[in-house]
Amino acid sequence: MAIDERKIIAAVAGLGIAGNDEGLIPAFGLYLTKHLADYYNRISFATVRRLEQTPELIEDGAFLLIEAGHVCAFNTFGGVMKSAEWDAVVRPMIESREDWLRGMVAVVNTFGWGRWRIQELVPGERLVITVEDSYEATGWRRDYPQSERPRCYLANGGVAGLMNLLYVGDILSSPELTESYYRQLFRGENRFVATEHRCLAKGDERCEFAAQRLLTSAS
Amino acid sequence: MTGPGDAPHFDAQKNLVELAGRRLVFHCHHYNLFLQRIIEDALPEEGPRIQMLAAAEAVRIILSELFGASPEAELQDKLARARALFGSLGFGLAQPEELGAMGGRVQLATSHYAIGWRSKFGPSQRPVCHFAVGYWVAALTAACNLPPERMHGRELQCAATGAPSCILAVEVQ
Repeated sequence: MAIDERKIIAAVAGLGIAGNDEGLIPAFGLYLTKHLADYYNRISFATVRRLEQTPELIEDGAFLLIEAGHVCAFNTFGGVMKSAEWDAVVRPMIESREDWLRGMVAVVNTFGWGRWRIQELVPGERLVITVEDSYEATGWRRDYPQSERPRCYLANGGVAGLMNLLYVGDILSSPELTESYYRQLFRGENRFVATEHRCLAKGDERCEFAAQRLLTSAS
Repeated sequence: MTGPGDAPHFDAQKNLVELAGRRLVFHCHHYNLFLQRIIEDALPEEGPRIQMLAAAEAVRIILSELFGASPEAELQDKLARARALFGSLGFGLAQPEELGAMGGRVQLATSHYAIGWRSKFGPSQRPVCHFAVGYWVAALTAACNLPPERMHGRELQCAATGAPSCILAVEVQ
């Protein structure tokens, strides 16, 4: 395989991403933070647990947090794949469209989100990813009783977002990451959605996500 | 000013980033502000307080661990370390010189959340720096080893609403 994940991780970790003189981290066309996983987990889980107290809002809580994951994927993954750093480090390894996805997963593995692994990739059709030490699931498991539902909302949105950037949109053509382009990728009937079939928070050994087209998923 | 253990550690075998034994994760302003907005849309009354308390809890654990390694340090030295960490993690440029053992004010010359909100959504009708309020409540809690129940924080003005800078108030009750 052309993508050398260890080399990518070493290169990105070596960028020394940290706040500048203004206390900000402008990178990849974004303002980044090195944030506290406990913070995200507390605000996300407090919100979703509050909504789950009302039976008809159970799905709404998950929907909102997964949508935040879509926004993250679109802007962060999209921004990274359009960046000079991507061109310098990852692009020389790329031999196919699928390598864009493999390269982005390697970059994700520098974000502190856990260890993402591609288990299956059928171009344009299906992506299965496992995550070891997902920060969402480990946070849930530490602070709450075993869950009846999967809890990795951010990762769920991220997995679907990878496929939407590659196979609904065309991140290879370096599009502007506008609101209308977001709607094109994440609102159409042809979009990908992900399901977390296994989750550490439910007692599974690791978290596992499958993304496929909405119409395929519904049928 | 920094102290021992203030730099996050990346474990390349596990792909984890840790600071004082707690996990750090990279996220951008699009995610941070969208997440904040949906929480406040879903829970308009509770949302800001949920975020402020979550920040205070998470930050207090980290700073208590870091400050615990140098218990003899002066208050202003501890607050200077909190300021350096705040900036290095990308949350903004804080000026805590008016913060003392009984509370006071922190000015944010830049704020990730205020800049991010304006960039993503335009001007806000209300202050948005709930994380920063919780952060500085936690900084004083950890620096003075006070019970968190005695602390109260709020944002007096916010750059997201058009103010020239953000000003936070921390009170010890």
